[in-house]
Amino acid sequence: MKKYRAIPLVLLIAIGFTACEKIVDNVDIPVQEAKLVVNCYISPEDTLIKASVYASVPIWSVSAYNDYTPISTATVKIATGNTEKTLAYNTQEGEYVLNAASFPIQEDVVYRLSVSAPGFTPVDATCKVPLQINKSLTFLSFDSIEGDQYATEYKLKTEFTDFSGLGNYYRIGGYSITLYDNGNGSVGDTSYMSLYSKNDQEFMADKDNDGQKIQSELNYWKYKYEDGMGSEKLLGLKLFLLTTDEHYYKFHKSLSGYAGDDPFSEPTIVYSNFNNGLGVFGAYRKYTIDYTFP
Amino acid sequence: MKSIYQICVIILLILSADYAGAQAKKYTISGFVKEKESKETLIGVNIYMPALKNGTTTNAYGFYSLTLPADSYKLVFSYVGFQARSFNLDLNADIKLNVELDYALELNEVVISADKFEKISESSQMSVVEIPVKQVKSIPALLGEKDVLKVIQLMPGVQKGSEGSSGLYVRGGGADQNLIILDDATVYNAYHLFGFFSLFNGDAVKSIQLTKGGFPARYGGRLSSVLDINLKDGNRQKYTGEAGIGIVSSRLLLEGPIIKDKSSFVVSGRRTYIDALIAPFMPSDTKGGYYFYDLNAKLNYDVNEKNKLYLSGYFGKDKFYFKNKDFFSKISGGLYWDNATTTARWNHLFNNKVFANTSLIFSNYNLNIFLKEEQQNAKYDLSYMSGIRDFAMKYDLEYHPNPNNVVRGGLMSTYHHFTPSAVAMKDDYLMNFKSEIEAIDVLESGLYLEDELKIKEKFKFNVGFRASHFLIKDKMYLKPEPRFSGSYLFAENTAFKLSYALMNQYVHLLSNTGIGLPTDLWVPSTERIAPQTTQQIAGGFAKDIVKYDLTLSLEGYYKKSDHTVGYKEGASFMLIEDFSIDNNVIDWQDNITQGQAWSYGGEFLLQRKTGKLSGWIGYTLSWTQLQFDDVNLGNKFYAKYDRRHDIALVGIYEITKDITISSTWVYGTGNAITLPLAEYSPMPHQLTPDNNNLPGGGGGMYYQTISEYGEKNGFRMAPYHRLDLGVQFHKKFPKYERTWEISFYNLYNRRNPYFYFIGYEDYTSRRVLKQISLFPIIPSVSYNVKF
Repeated sequence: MKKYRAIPLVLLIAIGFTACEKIVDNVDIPVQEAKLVVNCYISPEDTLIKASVYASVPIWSVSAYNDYTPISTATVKIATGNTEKTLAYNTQEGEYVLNAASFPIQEDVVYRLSVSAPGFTPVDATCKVPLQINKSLTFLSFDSIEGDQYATEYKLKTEFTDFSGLGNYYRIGGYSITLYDNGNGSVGDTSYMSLYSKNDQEFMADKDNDGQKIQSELNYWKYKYEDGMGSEKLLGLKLFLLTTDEHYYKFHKSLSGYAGDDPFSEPTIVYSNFNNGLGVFGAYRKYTIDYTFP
Repeated sequence: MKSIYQICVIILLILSADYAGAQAKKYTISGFVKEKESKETLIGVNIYMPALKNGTTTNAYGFYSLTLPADSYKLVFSYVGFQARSFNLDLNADIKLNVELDYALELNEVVISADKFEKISESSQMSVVEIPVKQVKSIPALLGEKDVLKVIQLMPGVQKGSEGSSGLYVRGGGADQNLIILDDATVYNAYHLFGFFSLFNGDAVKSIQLTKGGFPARYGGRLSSVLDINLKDGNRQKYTGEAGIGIVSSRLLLEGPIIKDKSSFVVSGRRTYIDALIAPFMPSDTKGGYYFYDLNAKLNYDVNEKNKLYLSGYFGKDKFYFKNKDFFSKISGGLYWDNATTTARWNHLFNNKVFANTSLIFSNYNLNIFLKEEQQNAKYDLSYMSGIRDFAMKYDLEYHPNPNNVVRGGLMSTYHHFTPSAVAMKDDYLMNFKSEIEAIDVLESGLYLEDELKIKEKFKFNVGFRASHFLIKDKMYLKPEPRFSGSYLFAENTAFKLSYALMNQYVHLLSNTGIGLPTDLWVPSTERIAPQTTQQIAGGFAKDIVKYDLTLSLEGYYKKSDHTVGYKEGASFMLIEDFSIDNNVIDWQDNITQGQAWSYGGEFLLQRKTGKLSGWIGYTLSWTQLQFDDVNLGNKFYAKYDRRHDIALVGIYEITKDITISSTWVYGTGNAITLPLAEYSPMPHQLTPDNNNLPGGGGGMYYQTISEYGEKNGFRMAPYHRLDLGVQFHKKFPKYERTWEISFYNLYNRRNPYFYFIGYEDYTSRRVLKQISLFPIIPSVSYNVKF
């Protein structure tokens, strides 16, 4: 009898678990060549012009994986009008670098970045440096909010006023400066921790609040140490309001929404302004506030 | 307000005008049309006066009214699947004429007379699909479970979502944009078993009507379609029943008189028994299973000739559960969702021209996920709930001043109580935690007026206006919704039709899985989330090919939607994962975005509703595009269910009086999905100096691998096609009739893709695209009796 009792089970398994897996062979899968991935951000407030160059790894055509190795054999050129300079590869930084003194970045000027490397289609992009720096950033409040047993979380509210007229883009960010004290009288290194926005208020466009006051909230942690393990002292905060161009904003905004491989989330298309390539060439103006804790 | 005033003036002018013979004294012929044997009222019976080439149809309660000048008339009552009846009347006083129709002799090809059925060329309405319930029961179905929604999916302009799902995507609209009404009650989650079966099993259903465009003003609240399902009233003469045993479930329906000719009931139920079959094979320390059941019940009572009462209800539940116990721990969990609707209705005839219906409606949908774990002395308890509850009142008035006019007006007001999600968690190690998104109470109302009018013999119109109103906290929306549909009979049996409708939708379904999981969440429009709006223009031809009893329709449509709800890139609605200790609950409003949608296309339908060979050929050519500022970098993209070509062939052939063979073949362009093309590491701009000596990292470079997708939904899955075949063997015995049915789903075993994922080629690290397909060929057998 036992043998027969298995029949409905087999039937059920057959019905319920008939889902089957196979390699897709009846549609054309888009095959793509590796592309150059270039990231470069320029500002009149910076002393160095830096660009990183990597390669994308096609998923369907080769059995290779992304190993985060920069491309060191590329030719990276920045130009405006008839002036052109080449950025040199810095092995230590893994980046292409040019001293801004030899090629000053100026407001309201269009720059072009072109990159070529053996085996890749050359890429290029342009961006325009914003004319004005928004300097209206103010602190509104500091609050400590409850963290967990390892750290205390702090909340910082800021406000700035948007330039009137549409098409302004901003980034608000910064870092905390802390000093580690091991408790034995010797003071350790100064360290920097990025501020972060829980409410997606780091990158902003003024399409819904032109000319208005824009508030944002940033958070940061201070670590707790067990007894006898030393302590940490918050020295200060450095806060930036970046007035950016559209490319800078679109790239960072789309990247900040990237959710990885969560199958229940919508795939994120990350912005690029490079012809034939990936990454971004963007410009910004930087306004800085220093805050020292008493 | 000016437009409301103008519409009222136009309607009054039309009503005051009359056709030839306006001077003669007028009388009214009115009554109800019923099925002869069961006394079930019939909806949409055509009452035609050949001499005048004019007539009317019965309403949702079987009532009709014709007011005509004193004269002699011939009236023909006809209805699909029934023998037509004609009456010669000398009209010199008001006449009450209740008519009973008998089923047509099914086995002989009935000689078709020109005035037999309501012709599609004679209706002002367009974009309407009606499917006889008998056909629903004949068409082969997955695992033999007859399903109204799956049959609707075979109609042009209606797409299914993914394999096996009952969701309807009408003319590019979303699965939540269909107003599904069961005896006046809105049904929120019309699906069982994660969308594989719908709530409507066909046994208790009297009529099914799907409207895809040119919506009459009496309907509102959803953008894309209205699926109006009426339940049977119950046999008023004798006790009868139907029962069926299938592979996954059994069904039973009983109906009969409570007081003969005055009151009757119908009760039908269905339950699956996968859980009971699995139980003996489970290990002793583990229990688990899945079941669903549904129950329909309806009572009606004729108080007198002028007053009738109806009470109908639907109750259904799905439950998946498991329990496991061992020496160290006890764990139990599962999920269940239930739907309940109740409608109390009162039909009142003010006189032989004015019919009124008042409905009180209750609808409730609940989802509950639970998990309990006990380990030695520690306990963990989690419960997640979400739901929506409606209380509604509806009043409809219908006035038949003359055969050229039917005026309808009414109002509906619904109080929605949303509980979007509530989580309770108890944990002995951590803490007790309760997070509740505040319940939201809103009021949604609609006020409408419409006139169905005929001018001469050739022009027919339905002109209407609806004012829709939505109130949430301090925010109020008041939106006008003009409606128009018209037809011009330019040759015998051939009409040109045109329609326009503006629709608003105030409640939205949040679901980013697209497969009808019960975790999908209904939410209202708010101050931040504006109501969705669609305008649709449709035009086309309708032709009755009388000789062969065929109807042919060819329609084109263009739809533009605003404030369409979509999901921000990276948004995830698996809310439970987001409840962490710091109470950082994600507001659902932060996850969604609003944009625009465009949908256009053409539909072809050749249909035969009766006869030895019946069925239809449907073809749809369509495009659906979306645009959101926050998605796909603001660029337009194709919707997931954008389907360029969609074909459905449905045939039902009665070989002999004992054997019916039926078959369907469907083809659809593959779904549009987003496929990763490459991986790369972009370098965002770092504001923090490099710092490597503390936990948490600080600033400096950080590496993240992301995918390059190309265009959103820029990749097409393989096309979907499938052939189903069913054979029914009927036999009549003196006291009952039985049917054996053998059917095959996916007869040629096509491996249609359900979803794609990145996999690996065997024994290599090379990545390949793999697919999961759900249903291979699935045979099933069922046994049904009717007594």
